[in-house]
Formats: sequence, structure tokens, C-alpha cells
Amino acid sequence: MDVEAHRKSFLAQLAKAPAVADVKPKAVADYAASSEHDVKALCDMIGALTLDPSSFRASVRTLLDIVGNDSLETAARLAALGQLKAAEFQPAEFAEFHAEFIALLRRLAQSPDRGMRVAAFERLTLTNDVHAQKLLHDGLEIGKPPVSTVKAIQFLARDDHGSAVPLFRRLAKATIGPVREQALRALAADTQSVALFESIANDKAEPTRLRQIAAMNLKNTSPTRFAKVATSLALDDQEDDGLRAVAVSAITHTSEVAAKVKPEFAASLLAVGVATGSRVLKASIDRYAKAVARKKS
Amino acid sequence: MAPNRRQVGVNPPPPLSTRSPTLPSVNVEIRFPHYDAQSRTYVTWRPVEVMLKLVAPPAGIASVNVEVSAKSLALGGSLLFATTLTHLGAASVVLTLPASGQEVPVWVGGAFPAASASYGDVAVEVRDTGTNQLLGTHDLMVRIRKNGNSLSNAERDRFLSALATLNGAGTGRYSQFRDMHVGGPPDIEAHGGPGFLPWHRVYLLDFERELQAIDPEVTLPYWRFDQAAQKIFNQNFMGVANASNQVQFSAGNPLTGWVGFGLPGVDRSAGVGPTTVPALLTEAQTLNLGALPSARYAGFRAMQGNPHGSAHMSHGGGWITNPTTAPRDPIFFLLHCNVDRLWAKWQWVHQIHDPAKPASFVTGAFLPGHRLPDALWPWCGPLAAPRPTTAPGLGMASSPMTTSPPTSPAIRDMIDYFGTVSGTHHAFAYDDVPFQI
Repeated sequence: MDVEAHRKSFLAQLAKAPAVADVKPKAVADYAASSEHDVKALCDMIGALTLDPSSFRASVRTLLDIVGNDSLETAARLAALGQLKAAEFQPAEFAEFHAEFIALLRRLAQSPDRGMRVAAFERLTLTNDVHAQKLLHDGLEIGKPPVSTVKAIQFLARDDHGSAVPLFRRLAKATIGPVREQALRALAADTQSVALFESIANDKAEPTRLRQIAAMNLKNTSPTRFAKVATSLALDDQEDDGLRAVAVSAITHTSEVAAKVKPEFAASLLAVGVATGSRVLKASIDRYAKAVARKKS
Repeated sequence: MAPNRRQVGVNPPPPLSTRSPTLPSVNVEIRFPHYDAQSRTYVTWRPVEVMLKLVAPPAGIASVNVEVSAKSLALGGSLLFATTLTHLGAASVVLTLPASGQEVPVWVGGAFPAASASYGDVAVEVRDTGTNQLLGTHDLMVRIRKNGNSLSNAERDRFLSALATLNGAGTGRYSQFRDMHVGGPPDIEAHGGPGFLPWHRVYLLDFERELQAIDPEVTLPYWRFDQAAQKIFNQNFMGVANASNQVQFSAGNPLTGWVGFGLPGVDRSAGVGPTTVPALLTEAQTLNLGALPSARYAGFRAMQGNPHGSAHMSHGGGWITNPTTAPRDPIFFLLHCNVDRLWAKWQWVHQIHDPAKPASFVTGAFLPGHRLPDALWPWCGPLAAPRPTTAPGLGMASSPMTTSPPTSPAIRDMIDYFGTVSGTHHAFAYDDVPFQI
């Protein structure tokens, strides 16, 4: 290839590229304030608002005002919130607005607008905001979380300190369906729930999806007991092939588990790989065999 | 490191003082500058200096004329050859190898855009120009970062397997990469100014080298976030997010055991699906940032907001949407690989690789870690305030294929990654960004 000709051709293509929309913060603020504004057009303008260094401060000011304006449409406020979250990826420039942003989100976490509440919790719980965590925890305790129960568990489970684990244990035992599943996910690092994980992972009457979550939780909390469960699952012809493939994959990619697997397991598993008609299980076993071979070499 | 020598059988020496075209008689040793522990070598589009020499030539001849070319498998890599460092290599080159055994250099690089899919799908061949007899051959790989949406299933699976191994269920070496890209002062290092792009270039290269220590044929793929990526956002690759922010993987996907932090799984909203084209600056619009009246990094670095920040936010919610949590999601590495690709492509299209040229970076009153001579944290180790005093990663991983950048790289070390002016390269390249000097 003639690289220089290729470069010139590419430069010519760049010259034809549509120009970036030059939307000024004041234009967005004025349009949002107009009683005649069209919501979609406003969202488009917000999305096109530049976050480059020259207009960063004015843009963020405008976005904060829109997000905090309870009289504006939810769609426009959420679009502005998305832009503010993008602006957070420039932390030095965003620093002067950070405290105001968090305070605004805490207010929105109690907004009557469900969409704004969910969005506020979505952002606040990513950084372990204790105010948001307390609202979620208290709401779950009394059965009236500020967002759906599943969402509330999901957000609260982000807490790096795991302060809601006792609550999750209760929910995992006392509920059914998606709430139980979410609570089980939230317990993934809970070493006190090892027996529960083992029981669900081994129980063929439980939904496969739930057994998979329980098995992964067991891997995290007790590699020794997981190794036993996973090898048993992998070699059991009566088991769901997808679940068996997950077990094999976990053994392959977790050295702590692989180290606890009995030496004769590899030969038995390779025999399964030859016999099985399941593509997904075969592929998983193939990866296991390659990993073992790489380790030996 | 022991060189990987590939030779064909030794024949009896010819009786004549000039070699007879009918009597193949010699071997050629092909020596690349770098080999890994498996005696394998990898190149990118950037040529490397390879040494050829006759081995045990027959008595009575002064030299042998040889043609150096590539032998490629279908869909394999391809090579270019030259007698100097250039992007203008040819499919073959003729050299004269002295019978004294003196080494003769030839520059060998991948022929853009034909990258390898696996090791040994391309080889250097040396043939006698008179007889066409094969005198030497040497397997290698044109190892290039590719669009994740165009990876073969085998390439994808190797990458996922290495990624899952590095993750080690959240406890492997991966955890240090996660912890160096977090909130507070470390975030200022990564995102607090014009060092954003060089910082992430080191970060990705360090990460990729760790993957290559697990599987040397792996490179980081990129997610072109201005295009739909059906083959990335499916359950066999980066997964599909559901309404509860849980990313679903197929049963055999190694990422089923992924642990970003604490809990297993990936927390990501369903903002980007298989057919989604995120609303952000296109590649062309990004490469035009700050291009007028003449291209300057000062203008280009506005891409930190859009498309970079916009790409993070295109997912709507979950770990990827906050700097503190973003590396917990494996898509983070594909997203940032594309950010780095855009910078690399901007550098190529505007021919700005020399850190001595003002257009290649910026000058001004920026935070420590964001000025051209500044060492980058955490690879430079703990420093006195105002730099963060913790350093989870310390020195960056070495590569068997190059000595560059240094283990404690500065911003200026990260600009000329192709070695267009410095003479040393970083041993990575993108499938749509050629080498050019």
C-alpha cells in the first residue's frame, strides 16, 4: 500500500466530515427557559453542548441548572445529567462543581419524579454515598424503598463496605423470584452464606440461573468447597450443559480453584469433552485443556 | 535470549569460486532483535532490523545473492522489506551475503494492513536468487491491535481467556490496574489535564503486556464507539446488559467468572446494545478537533470530553459511567483502546510524532504529571505531595519485544510510540494506523 497516498485520501475524507455542532451554553439555557421549547430538540442541544476546556465552566453551570430545574421535562434533565457525568471524567475542571453536584443528586434522590430518583441513586451509589445508602437501606427495611426493590438491592450492593449484608441475607431467605435473585447476587462476597450457596448450587430443583449465581458466589467465598461442587457439576451428565460449562470455565480461569482440583479430574473432563454433544461445554473443556497445556509448557 | 534460528539442511560445498546456480549449498541464519521465552518474535507495522548471515558456507565462494520475502498463510500476516528504516518497504529485497559470515541487516515490518491472526501465519523466507533454493525461513507474527468487532472467534476467545486469567476473579494482577484508576488524587493523575492521553497509553500498554505474559499472541482489541459493534456487545464477548444492570455472558464465556470489585459479574446499564451507534463525535470529527489552522494537541485533547466522556456515558449507568469504578468493567479496556487509537490516528494523519515539536503536546501551567517532562504516576513510584504517595502498580511491565518505554515513563516517552524519530518503539500498533516517517 502507498501509505502517503492513503494518508492524503484519508485527509480528504476528514475535510468532508460534518462539522461539530457549535452549541453555546447560553443558547441551551435560553432555549430551555423558553416555554415553546421542544423536548427532543432540547435534548439534542444538551447532547451537543461542548465540554472542551474553553467553555467547560459555562457548560457545566448550564447543565447543573437544567438538572436542578424541577419544572423541566424529565428527559431533558436526564440528558443534562448524562452530560454532567461525562464532565466528571475531567475531574480537575469539575472539582469546583463537585460538592454542588452531589448535593443536587441527594436532593433528587427524594424527588417525586421516579426517573430522577433512579438516576440520582444510580450515580450516588457508584461512589458509596452514605446519604443515598441510608435512604435505600431504610426503605428496604420497611418495605418501601425509594426505587423498586430489585433496583434498591442492586444499588445498595455497590457499597464497598458491605454494610447491608445482614439485610440481604434476610431477603435471600424470605423472598422469591427476582428479589431473591438480586439478594443472592448481593451476597456474593459473604462468607457466612457459604452453606446457602452450596445448597442452591447443588439443588437441581432450583432454576439454573440461580444455581449459577450461587456457584459463582461459592467460588468467591470458598474456593475449596467450590472446587468440589464445580468438579461434580462438570462431570455430571445429568446436569445442565450451560451450568457445567460455567463450572469448567471457573476452574480454568481461577488459579486458586484449579489448584484444589484433584489430579484425575483433568482426564475425566477430557473424556467428557470427547463424548458431549454440547458445543458450549466442548468449547469450555477445550479452553481448559489449552490452559493446562500452557501451564505445563 | 536465545535467538530462534530456522535453517534448512546443509548441503556439500560447491567446488567453484563462484556459486553454481545448480548447487544449493548454504544456509542462512535469520536473527530478529528480540525474542520471548518461547524463542518467538513479534513485529508490528514498524520495521525492525533483522540480521542475516551465511552459516558454514562452502569454501571458494565470495558471497551469495539472496532474495528475502514473506510466505503468508491465507488470512495471515504479510511483511515488507527494506535496507533502511522506512515505510516504503517492498514485498522482497535482494541482498548479498558475504561468505565471511558477516551479518547483513534487513528491515522487516508488517505490511499494512495485513495483520496476523496467529503465530506463524507468516514467515520470512530467504532464497538463493540463482536457484530459488530455500536457504532459511523464520516464523513470526504481525501482532496488531484490532477492532474488536472484526476479531475472529479464535482471536476473541484467546483475548477473553487471557483477560479472565489476569482478572483472577478480582484478585489477580488486574486488581492493581483497577486500583490505580480510582477517585481522589490518582484520578487527577489520569484525567487532570493534558496528560490524560499519555497516561492512558501507558496504562493500556502495561495492561496489554500483562495479557501477553499470559498469552503472547493476544493484543488489546478496541471498541469503535462511533459505530455499531454487534460482535462486541453479545453474550460471547463483552456481554449484554439487562434491565437490572447485570451483564449476561454465554455459559462458556470466560468472563462469567469476572469480578470487578467485591461482587462477581459486571454492573452496566443497557445503553449500548448490538446495534447501538452512540451519539458522540465520529472518528472524523474527533480527528478534526483542533485541526485548523494547523493540527495541535492543544485542540485535539478536547476529545477527553467528547467522544471519551460521552463514550463512557453512552452505557447510561453502571461502573463504566464513573471514573472511580470504570475499570471494573472489562469494556473499559476496549473503550480506552479506541481512545488511544484515535490519538495514534491523529498523530499519523497529521504526522505529529516528534515530542520536540510543540504541536505534539502542550505547554503551560498544568498539574504535576501533565507536563511534557513529567514522570507518570504510579509507574514512577510514590512521590512527595502533591503527587499521590501510593503506587499500586510501580514500574510498568517489560516486553520481550522492546526496551521502550522505560519502566518509569514520562509523558515525552509516550508520544513517539512508533519510534519514528527516537529509534525505539513500543511494540504495539493499530490495524488502521500505518507506520510512516
